[in-house]
Amino acid sequence: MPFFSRIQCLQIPALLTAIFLALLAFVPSEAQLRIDILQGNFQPIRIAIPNSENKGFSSAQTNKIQAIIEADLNRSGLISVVDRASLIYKNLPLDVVPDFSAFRLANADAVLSLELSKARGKHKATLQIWDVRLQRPLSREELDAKSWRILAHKISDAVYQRLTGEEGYFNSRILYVSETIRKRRRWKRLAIMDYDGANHRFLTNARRTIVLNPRFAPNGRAAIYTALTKNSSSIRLIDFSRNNREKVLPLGKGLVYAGRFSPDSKKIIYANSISGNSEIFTYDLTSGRRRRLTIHPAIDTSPSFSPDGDYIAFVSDRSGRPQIYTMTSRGRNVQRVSFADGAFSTPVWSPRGDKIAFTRQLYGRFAVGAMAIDGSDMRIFTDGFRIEGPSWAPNGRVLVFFKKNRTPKGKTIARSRLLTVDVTGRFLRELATPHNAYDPSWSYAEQQ
Amino acid sequence: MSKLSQAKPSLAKFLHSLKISSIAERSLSEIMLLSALAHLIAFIAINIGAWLIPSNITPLPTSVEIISEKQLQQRLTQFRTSPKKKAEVESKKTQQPKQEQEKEKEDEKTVEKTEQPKPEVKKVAKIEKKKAEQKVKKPATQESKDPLEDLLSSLEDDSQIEEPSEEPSNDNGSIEDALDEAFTDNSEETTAFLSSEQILTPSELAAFRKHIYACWSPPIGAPSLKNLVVDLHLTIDKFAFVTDVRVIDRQRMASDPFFRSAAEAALRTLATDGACSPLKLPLEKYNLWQKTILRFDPRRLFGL
Repeated sequence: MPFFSRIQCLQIPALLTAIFLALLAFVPSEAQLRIDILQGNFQPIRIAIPNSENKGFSSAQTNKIQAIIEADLNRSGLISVVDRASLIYKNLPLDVVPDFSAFRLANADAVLSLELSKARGKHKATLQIWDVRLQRPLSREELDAKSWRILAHKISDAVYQRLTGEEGYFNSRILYVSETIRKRRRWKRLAIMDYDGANHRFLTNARRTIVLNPRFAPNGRAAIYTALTKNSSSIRLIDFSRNNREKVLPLGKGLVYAGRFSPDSKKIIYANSISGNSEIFTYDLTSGRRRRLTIHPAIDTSPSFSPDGDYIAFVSDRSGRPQIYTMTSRGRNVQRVSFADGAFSTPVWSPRGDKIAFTRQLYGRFAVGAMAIDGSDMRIFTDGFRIEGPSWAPNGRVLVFFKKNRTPKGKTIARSRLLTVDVTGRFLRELATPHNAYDPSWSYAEQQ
Repeated sequence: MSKLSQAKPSLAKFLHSLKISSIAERSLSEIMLLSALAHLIAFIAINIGAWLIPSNITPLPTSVEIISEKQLQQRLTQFRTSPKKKAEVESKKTQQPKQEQEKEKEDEKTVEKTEQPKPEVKKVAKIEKKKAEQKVKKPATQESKDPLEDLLSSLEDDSQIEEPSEEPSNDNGSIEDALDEAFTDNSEETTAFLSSEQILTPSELAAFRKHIYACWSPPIGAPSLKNLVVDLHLTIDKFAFVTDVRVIDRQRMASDPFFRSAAEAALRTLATDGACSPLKLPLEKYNLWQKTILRFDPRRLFGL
């Protein structure tokens, strides 16, 4: 029997040739000059937004939509909108390739062409993004929304996502505690508004109940808050899908507070103080089952789930001072993660899963910062007389918190405002609220 | 085969298992196929070896002295001085008699021949010959590929300057030319060095980087910055305009939106009509940078 048959004799050279050619593709190319660029000069991406084409929108509505898009993108810090007055072409139809050189003169890096229309009670937008420097289309998308305002935020989200690679966070809401003072009496109410301050409304109205720690469910359909009355405390659930119906959760005796949702929105994790010893519990919203996670004579409070639901960050003073610890979702493997000076509070796990935001009190000053989940790379974003209560934006890039200044002489109360800061600490922005604002919580406007 | 089986029974067994114990029995086509297979295996082995050994640690073909730009300028200035001064310098070092100095002024090559030991005379003669050849072939050699390109690529980063190899020098024409041109006043040394024409000097690299730094907007605040290092392959014309640029990791461009944004930011840096065009490169060293790989690495910016 010959070593190779005749057919093999024909096939094998072909196979060998194929292998040889495939290997050639992996042969290292000729030596070339290689240079590392290790420094840069951050500049926001400049986008030009010529007037959009409209089908069914009034010019006033169109202007408002464009104003919202511009405000959203400018507030992000990563993108800035080119002044329309500096554009040579004020209009850019959707299917027309822009004159890139004309937009370069306006120093634009990108151009957004937009077509707005109304159909079957929905507001629609078709958008096309062009890269001016690379002279090519980047993306084309069609969006719709029930209201023109949401549509505007969705357009901002689409632009932001395409240019930065990151999920947008403009179509989102803020839940917070609003404080008004009448006749030297403080009235704390739960308020909700769009991320840009629009659609502001109150969710609670009781004068003798103090509301604290409002927290959105990750799916945006519900929220919880702590209600303190003269004799008791309770955690209450607001169901947005059922006309904001409220329900007091049966979480047991003693003081209950600092509640938060689990990532799947099916559980509540909270602190329960009985006889002065605060411990951490979970409550299953479906089955109504409670489970104790910590057993320690020290105070354990402010729990927060990791985005995968496997871990919990919390505050404990078991080391002598309030520090941040982590444990598994079953309460095991407790590990201390913060070791810096000061008292730590309100740890919040980032939706990205890589950081834990916190409040730190040191030498009478408060600061908001974030650290890696193992406690390394701790960064303080801002500090002041009273800065507290960080909450992550749904995309994990931006934090919202409240800042209260020292009370000025001759006044009974200082102004308390909501501020946002991104993870680099570069972009600090104020969110407009009609009254004093505390304890913000951030969520998408609807389930994403 | 019997001898082979005695000496290497395992090999014989292996050959037998392959049914090639008697090569004479095989047809020519089978032998050719086996030969092709053997060549292919050798080819794969060489390539794997080439991948495993980084180019920047390839032994240098000759010993190289790395000097600062200031020293380089000094030496070049010294070299460019008149033959009279050069001869004076040499005379001080070798302490030649005055008569020889006069002769040297007349014909420097003759003096060197008489002073150097015999093997050196041959070497100098060889250098002279090569130099003459190079003068004739000058336009062609400028365009041809520099044999030291591998070496130069390893020296491109001023932060990664390696210790010079201490291997004895080979008969490499370009190195010897460099030695001849730059060390005529220091003939006792056996080390060679790269002329400023063969490398991008630290100051040239610094100028290039500074120029790019102003134009590159790095991805700030993005998650997993460690993975947002973008390599671009550039083809540059002789006026330092980028004629072609491509992202090396194209597959990731399609799958990772963060990487895509980082890559687009790097591409915008090099846009032909951007602030960084043309690139700040020494035009006379076109051969060095006509094909360049730029690595945009944001990690150090954020202390990673």
